[in-house]
Amino acid sequence: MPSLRELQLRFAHAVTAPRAPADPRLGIYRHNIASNLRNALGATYRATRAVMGADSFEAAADAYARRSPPGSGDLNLYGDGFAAFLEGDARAARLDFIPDLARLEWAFDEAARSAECDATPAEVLEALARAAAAARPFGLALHPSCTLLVSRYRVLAAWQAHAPAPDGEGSDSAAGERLLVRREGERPCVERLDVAEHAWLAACSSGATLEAAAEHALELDARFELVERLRARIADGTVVGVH
Amino acid sequence: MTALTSLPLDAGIGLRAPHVAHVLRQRPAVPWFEVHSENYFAEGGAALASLERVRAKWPVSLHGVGLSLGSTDPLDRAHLAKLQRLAARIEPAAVSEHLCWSSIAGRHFNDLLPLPCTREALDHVSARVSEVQETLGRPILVENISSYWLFPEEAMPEPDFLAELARRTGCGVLLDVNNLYVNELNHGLDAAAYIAAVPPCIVGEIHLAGFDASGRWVIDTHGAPVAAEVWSLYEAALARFGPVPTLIEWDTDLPEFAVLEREAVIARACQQRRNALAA
Repeated sequence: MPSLRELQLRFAHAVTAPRAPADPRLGIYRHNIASNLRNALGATYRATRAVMGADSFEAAADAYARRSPPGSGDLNLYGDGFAAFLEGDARAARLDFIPDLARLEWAFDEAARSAECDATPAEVLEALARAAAAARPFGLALHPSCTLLVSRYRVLAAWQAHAPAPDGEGSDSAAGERLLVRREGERPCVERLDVAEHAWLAACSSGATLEAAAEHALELDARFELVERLRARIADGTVVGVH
Repeated sequence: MTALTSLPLDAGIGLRAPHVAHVLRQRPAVPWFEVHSENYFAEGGAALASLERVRAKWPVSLHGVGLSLGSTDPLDRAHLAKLQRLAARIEPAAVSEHLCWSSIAGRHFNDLLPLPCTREALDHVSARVSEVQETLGRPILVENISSYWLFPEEAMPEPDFLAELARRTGCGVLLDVNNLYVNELNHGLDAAAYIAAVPPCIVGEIHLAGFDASGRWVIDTHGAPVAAEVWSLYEAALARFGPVPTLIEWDTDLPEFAVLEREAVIARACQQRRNALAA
């Protein structure tokens, strides 16, 4: 008698091999597995699906499932890397902005389920005052839900409209669009950033000292007001501590 | 013996995301809710906060769909740790999983795949259930699944497998009566004989749901009202097992919440009839 492991490996092969299994009962599993993954991806990437069209999206979803099958029993984690997959996928290639749209949707999904952060603005200000008084370099910690994105396209408008990115100044490759996705309280949110603030928060996020991050922003825009931005970002919960 | 669950002996409802806001607003007279554990594995955010608000008012059962108890891969301890974290936060009235596997060689199928009832599988699942229970510090319930495939290697009837699993590990059984009927239609399983073969003291919960019989095979969609034949089997189960917490499950083509409440009312009426007969 074959071992349990052999039985499971054979079954798995039968329900995932490129060619449909001869036995229709195994075909039910094959169908359920594929449609569960399509539906999970479609729920995360609603706007991407709407823009690509259902047929095109599902064909891409099936190809993605073959390339990157789920590695977790938690289907909510499925779909990381779909944006990068779409970059090389002919179905999305006819609309250049689609991978960026997918990236925005994944950031939003991650923000919705990221860890909590209990620090109040008053506590963050206190920590900041202590760090400044200690007279040694320190950096700023961002809320765990934060993702900073850059796109050549007006991808936020595309996401809001579930429609292709509009032409206009935002699609100019020199200007592009810079976004901050994060969670405020229980709600994920997204906003456009100017070049300097994006550079500042991106530097903070990659571990730069406050001083280096601010210098980086000032190089891009000499009018960058560090104190004002810092106060606003502590108040809205983007900056949650120092390190 | 530790009680298998602290669920009310009444008919609860499977709570799905589209109904959560309604339930928190209307506070319906539902005795308890069950949710899919994995949908609340996040470290924060609105879904988890909503579940905590539900839990503040109702007993909650955590029903897992992704632990892959029967897989011959190593037990996914990261998955189990998330379940443990959620259980510590929610203090559930019951924790359940399925008699199935859903991953092999590191690949997950996110579907409940059938397990052959062999001696080897019994040893394997017993060890895994024990490890899960030790980690959680409580007994779990293990649910019989609907399947479209039977292994020719089956060595023992499933009720015997479940009875022995319960004897070895102290776990309970979550008896899905609809799954028995779907298996009867697809494989010719005798659902009534199955119920009669399960030892009464190990059944900690019953599931009821609807299926799709429009095709060649009956598909367990959880997308329809409970069938008349399943209500009859449920009455037979209550006659054998006594009052057991019972859940109405509905996952696809989710109707308005009132439809689920009506199904729960029917289940409660069955329980009351059985209690009146037993009195």
